Amino acid sequence: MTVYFVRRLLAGMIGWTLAGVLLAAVFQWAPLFGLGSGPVSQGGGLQTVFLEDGGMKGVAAVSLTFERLGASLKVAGLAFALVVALGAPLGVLLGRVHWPLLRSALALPVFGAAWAPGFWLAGLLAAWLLDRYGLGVFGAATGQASFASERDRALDAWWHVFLPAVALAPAGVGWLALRVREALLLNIAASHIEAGRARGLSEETLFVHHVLRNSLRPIVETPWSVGAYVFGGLILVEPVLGYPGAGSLILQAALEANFGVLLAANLAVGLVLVVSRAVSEALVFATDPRQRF
Amino acid sequence: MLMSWLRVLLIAAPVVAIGATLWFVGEVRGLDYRADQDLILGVREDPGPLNPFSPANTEGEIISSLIYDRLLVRDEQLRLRPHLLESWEMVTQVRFFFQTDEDAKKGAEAVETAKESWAEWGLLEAVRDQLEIRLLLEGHQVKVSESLAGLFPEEALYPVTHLQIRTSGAAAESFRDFTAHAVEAEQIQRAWMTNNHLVELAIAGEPERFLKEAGLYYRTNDQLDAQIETKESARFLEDPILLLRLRQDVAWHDGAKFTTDDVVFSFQMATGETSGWQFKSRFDYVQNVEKVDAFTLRVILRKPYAPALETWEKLPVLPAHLLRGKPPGPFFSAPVGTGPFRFAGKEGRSIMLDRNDDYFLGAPRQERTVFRLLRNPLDRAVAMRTAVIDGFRPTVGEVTRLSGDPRFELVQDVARLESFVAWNLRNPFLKDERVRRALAHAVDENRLVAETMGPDAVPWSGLFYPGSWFARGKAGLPAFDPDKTAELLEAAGWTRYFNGWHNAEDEILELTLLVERSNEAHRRLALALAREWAEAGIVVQVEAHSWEDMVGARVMTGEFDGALLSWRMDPGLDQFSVWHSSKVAPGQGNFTGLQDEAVDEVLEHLRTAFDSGRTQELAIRLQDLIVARQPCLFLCAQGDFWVFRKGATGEVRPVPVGDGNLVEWERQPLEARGVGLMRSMPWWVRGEAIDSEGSNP
Repeated sequence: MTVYFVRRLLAGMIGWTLAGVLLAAVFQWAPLFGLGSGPVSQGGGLQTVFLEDGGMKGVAAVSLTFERLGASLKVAGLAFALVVALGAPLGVLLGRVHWPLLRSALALPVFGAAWAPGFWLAGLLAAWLLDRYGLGVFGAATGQASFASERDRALDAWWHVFLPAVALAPAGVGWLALRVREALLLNIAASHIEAGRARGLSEETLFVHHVLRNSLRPIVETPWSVGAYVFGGLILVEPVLGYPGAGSLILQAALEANFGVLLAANLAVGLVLVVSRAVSEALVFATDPRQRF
Repeated sequence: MLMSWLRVLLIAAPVVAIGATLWFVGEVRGLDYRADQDLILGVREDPGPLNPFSPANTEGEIISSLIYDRLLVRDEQLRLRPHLLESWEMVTQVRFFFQTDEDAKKGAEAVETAKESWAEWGLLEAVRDQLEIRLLLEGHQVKVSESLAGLFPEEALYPVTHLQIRTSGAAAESFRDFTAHAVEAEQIQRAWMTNNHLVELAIAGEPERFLKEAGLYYRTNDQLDAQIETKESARFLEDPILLLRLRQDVAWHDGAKFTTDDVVFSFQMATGETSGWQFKSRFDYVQNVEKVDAFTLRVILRKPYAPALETWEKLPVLPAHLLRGKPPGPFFSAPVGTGPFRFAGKEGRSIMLDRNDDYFLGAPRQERTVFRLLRNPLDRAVAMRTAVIDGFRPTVGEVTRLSGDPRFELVQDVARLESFVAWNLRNPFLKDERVRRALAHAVDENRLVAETMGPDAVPWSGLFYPGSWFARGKAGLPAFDPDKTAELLEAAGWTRYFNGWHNAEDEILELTLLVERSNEAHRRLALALAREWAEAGIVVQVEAHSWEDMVGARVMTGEFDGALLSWRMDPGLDQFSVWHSSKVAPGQGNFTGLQDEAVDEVLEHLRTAFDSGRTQELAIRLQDLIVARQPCLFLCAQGDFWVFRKGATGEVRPVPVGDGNLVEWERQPLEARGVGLMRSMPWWVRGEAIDSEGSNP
């Protein structure tokens, strides 16, 4: 397994990315990245951010980034859980259902979801929930609320994690469901299934042990694929919902041409993606002996 | 094994995910974002330092009005009522100056023997002070001074001579220097510096000797280029006096007693040389303010002035014990007043006010009122919908968006922002009243306003504050009548050709209309007006400028034809500075340049009308005259909106019962009464939960 990992890391040059992140974070070698002038170098590389408003002035870019990254990871984790919990069963269902009407009825929302842009859903969701139910959908607004208990405050905090996750999840659910269905259909038609059927294996055994097991690839790869999608989407979804995560930090830093923060945040997100890739690889290794080369 | 777990997961995971989501959303829907009982109002701009003399914006004015109280307030009929004052009294002091002690003694006896006539004369008090007898009479327009003078033999009295000393400058300093050394200075009974070029004084004694000494002094200081003029001479000196009695149960928020010291200090601060207060010149009629005791103040007037109380209504009162001899800056960031709410601090973007438990009218029912800065319209919309704030003053655009929402209620304040086109009467075309009236008949204001202005605009209702007791009934504006326009212009010597109206000199009737660039509604209205006028053949070009350029560089200097302006109406009566012909110089109030004898006469009479019937008659006459002369084409008035969450706010105000010592608390819906919503703000409460039972003051 170790050999497998080392080979994979080296093959993808991932190790270099990881090493770069660590070096930049630990030694603040910002000048190495060609940032010889401007406010960042005045503040000492990645040490200091120059965000005028919002109480961030003078905070080290790296610690700010990691703090915001933590907030975004909560969203990404929840989005991932929703994608897997809903996308995988939906894909299996789509691959197994034979009645054309039901299949169409299921396929339509799945395709719709796969096409839905997250920031657009976030806007719709926010407007609808706020206007119809008076729910605090923007982080900034309920920051001024006075809650009766700590439970209520925690509930509200999780609500703000839940909203961007819900906005981002549908596209992931649709994508995963379609990939799972595709893999199932390929495997159902495979010759070894036909052979198993000829040897008298029950349909149930055939499906679970031979079709489903061979179709696990898209599911075990979700940490990587959903991770990449969610972190891309968060850059637009977080500002829409006023959520103080890494996505809104990157957008703000880009708009303010704050290269220190931008660099730190990109490296941090890169780190997350590297880790998610590694998790995916581990799961592939565990579930698919064919991939162990 | 793995696969059977996977089967379970495939079924259980979506069920758990959907179930958890439903439970979570249900919990969040039950969330209450407000555990407090504060009344939280959104403000659109930073209120800045809470200085009642120069509030940074409307928000600052609103918050200041809760912290600082006024001496007088307006009731629902807009009549002045004492507030920090207990009462006021208008009296006239008539002074006689006797030549000898013997004469004075005889004079005093004569007054004493005529005691049965005192009531008839309205004589309240008679005092002899060495060579002087002072008589205090009721009211400001006494007609009996002459007959009182008849009590004393003419030769026993020194005549009172009124003089004016005009200098090229430094009038006050040179006069002070003169009086410090002059032997005859003791003849001076009253001196009043009108400005730095003029001293007016009244002397009693031998005028020749005084004039000789004064003449000598001013001749030796020839750089002053002084002229001494003797005005009228009388047998007595009449001083109208306004006696202000303060309430004795008022305290500052820090516990100190509110006394005349504070009023005198505030008056000096407001009218001092360095003061930039906008109403400073309204106190020009005051000759002197004297403290009689801790709760009585004597204001000596230069001459009878009917709207005197109106000026005291405007004066904010500040604590002398905290401000005297100190820089005012720190005070205004944590102010101390006598108002119904005390400043409790700032927290982030919120300004907190706590009720004044010792308020003399009874502590407001609302314990804490918070003003929260929400600059962004989206923040305000979110805060309203999530019930984080209870109300705010929306912009016109927000009014349109919020008006359809059943969860909110809109309350419109009194429409006091008046929009009008001011004509420059110095313009050769506009000098002719017929042209101005023709312009007025050419437009249908009400239709144009409805089409171009926002929902806050209402038709113009009159020259005075809506609902004023002295200006009942609507003023009729010239009706839309294009035929009348043509008729008036023809009568004024204009002829219509294909490209407009031409006069005898073949000049085209062409005007420019200035409008403020950033006021979108005004820009729309100006263009619509220009279109209507174009249809009547009158060429009007619309020019947009910034407010400073338009008012500072064009309107105040008289370099304009017409300007679309708006101002906030004042509940007062006195419009002397806006329409009187003595105020037409550049930079002064009468920027249209109206010079009309009839208008001048009414304005002057209004300043001396003490009888309410007469005041009413004059006010209506003034309004009719202004509408007829058309120095301005009045268009509409705008009233600010407030939006509240339905059921979240109300008003619980104290209503005196019986002899005034008992108070009952009465719940009322929020609505504009009297001068407007700001007046009722101390009594706003949050929610139904706050009971209207309460302690008496």
